[in-house]
Amino acid sequence: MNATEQFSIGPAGRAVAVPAMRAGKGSTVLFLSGAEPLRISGRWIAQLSEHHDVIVPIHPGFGGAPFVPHVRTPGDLAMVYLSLLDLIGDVTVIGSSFGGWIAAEMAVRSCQRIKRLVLLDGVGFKFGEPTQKEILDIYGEPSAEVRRALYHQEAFRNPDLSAVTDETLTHIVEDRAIHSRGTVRRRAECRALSPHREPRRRSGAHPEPPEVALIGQPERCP
Amino acid sequence: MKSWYFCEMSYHPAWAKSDGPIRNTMPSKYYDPAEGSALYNRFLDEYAMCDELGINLMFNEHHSTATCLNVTCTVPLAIMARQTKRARLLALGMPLANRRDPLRVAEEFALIDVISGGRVEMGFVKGSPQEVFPANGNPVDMMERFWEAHDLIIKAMGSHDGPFAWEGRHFNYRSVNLWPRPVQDPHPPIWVTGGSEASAVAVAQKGYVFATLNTGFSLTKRLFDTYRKVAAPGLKTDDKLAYLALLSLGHTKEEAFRRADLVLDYARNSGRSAPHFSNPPGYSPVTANVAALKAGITGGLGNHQIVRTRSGERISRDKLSVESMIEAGIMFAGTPDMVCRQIEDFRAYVGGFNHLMFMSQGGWMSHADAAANIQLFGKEVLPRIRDLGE
Repeated sequence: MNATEQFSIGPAGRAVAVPAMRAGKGSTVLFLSGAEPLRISGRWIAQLSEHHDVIVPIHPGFGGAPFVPHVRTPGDLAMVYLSLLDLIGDVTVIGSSFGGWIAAEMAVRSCQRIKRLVLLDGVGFKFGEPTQKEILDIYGEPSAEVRRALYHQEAFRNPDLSAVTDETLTHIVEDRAIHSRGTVRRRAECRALSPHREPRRRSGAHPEPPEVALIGQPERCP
Repeated sequence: MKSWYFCEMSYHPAWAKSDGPIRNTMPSKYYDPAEGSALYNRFLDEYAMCDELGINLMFNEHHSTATCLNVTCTVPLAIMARQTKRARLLALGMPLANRRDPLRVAEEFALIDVISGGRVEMGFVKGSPQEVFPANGNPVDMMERFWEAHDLIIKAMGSHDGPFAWEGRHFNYRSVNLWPRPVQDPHPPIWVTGGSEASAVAVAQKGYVFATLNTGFSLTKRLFDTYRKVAAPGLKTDDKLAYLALLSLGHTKEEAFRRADLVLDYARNSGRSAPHFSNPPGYSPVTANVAALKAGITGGLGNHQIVRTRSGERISRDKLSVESMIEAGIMFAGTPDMVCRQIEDFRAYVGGFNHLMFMSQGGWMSHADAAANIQLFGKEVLPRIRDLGE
């Protein structure tokens, strides 16, 4: 995915650079994608942008976007994107897969600018018993099983990486590492989004909940 | 030269009960506690034999695996603190990045140092990639956590004026006040294992003992040379370099090689691990992973996982033989004469080291064979290599 816009979030000198693809006209949609840049479907974005102003950020540290040392967890990413909403105003947030996790983390902190929240097979939710493995450990299960869970289309399950550039492969490896960091930490505090935990609200947050759409099943794969 | 006996304390009876991995996922229904109890006690008896022979002791640990029954290196260390009189007691080691409470680590080492009268050597290790999962650890920040835990332990052992606070990136304590303080002042000697030049540099800069495990002719010299290059001028580097080899002895070559083949069974089986546990993201460098993706390699990427001969040829794990492992410098085996020559040859090739750790028990080897290996080493080999490096 090629960035068409660069957001700078936070005070000068400590700002977080967030490259993003932006397309279309209409009400603004912040589309938070899954963890792997190769998984972002251009077709989705094109269809959405027929009716909306769609912003698809590359998560800091992912897909070659600069790594930010203090942005280490999905909760940290949520704070970055809440600050992004301060710049772009009220939006519909669509979170897919790992992006759904970030979107949910945003919503428990502040719904002030989130008018609608759509979670597409969001991952990271823990509601069941301790022994119920609701979040698939994508680094602790056989890779064939993980690929089946990650990709609906057969073609995506076994990509030919021989023609992929070293730069893209480097991004993939780095993404796995940074993704793992968030995932492992998530597994350690996996009740963050459960009913048993008090949501952490952002200072001055608006308590009124947005309109929420849950599409598909909570995904087991981050 | 000092010698260190090491036994993985494996649970080999389970190895034949499944064709699949024996690490991480093997069900404990394959473990018989009564048989396990007998094995623990047998292995500890073999360790205790070393004391009278002037051989020091080294312990490690692993988790969720039939390759090693030690789940914490400090427990057998504590047992041996009472059962032995002279032997130095080395943990190699304590997987610092996987421990959630480094202060507890400091307490345990200090306690054993006091009980043993100052015989503890603290070895800190990164731990194998498979250990990340049972530790529920994060491979990405491992070395950050490792060195912060190390810093905390050193400060805790060296502080005697009451509590201090530790507010670090990974560890937070409102009050650190270590009791008891260790006998060895300010702290027991520190060892760190490594398999890369980067780790050799980091350990050399601190002047700690740098230990490599089964790195053979092909890698050891490079690592030891790096250590020597970086070490402070005047440091007697041979005293700071340690090498672990597989070892087997016999009154005849045939007897020694029969025992050596039993030791090798450990090497043949210890790699039985599912590929996805061998390379958690963030554990190995990005460049190594990019190359592996391009080559379609799955599994571990560490240098130590590749067995090579002295001339650099790769030896497939399913073709490991006593002869090939001797050729690789990973095993010393034969009569005492042969083994002494092999050790002297290897030591000269890599430029010197004064700590030889040896693993001479593996898998199905009987107590009689394991005891014979220890006795022959203590009586026939150690007296002839003890003065090396003096």
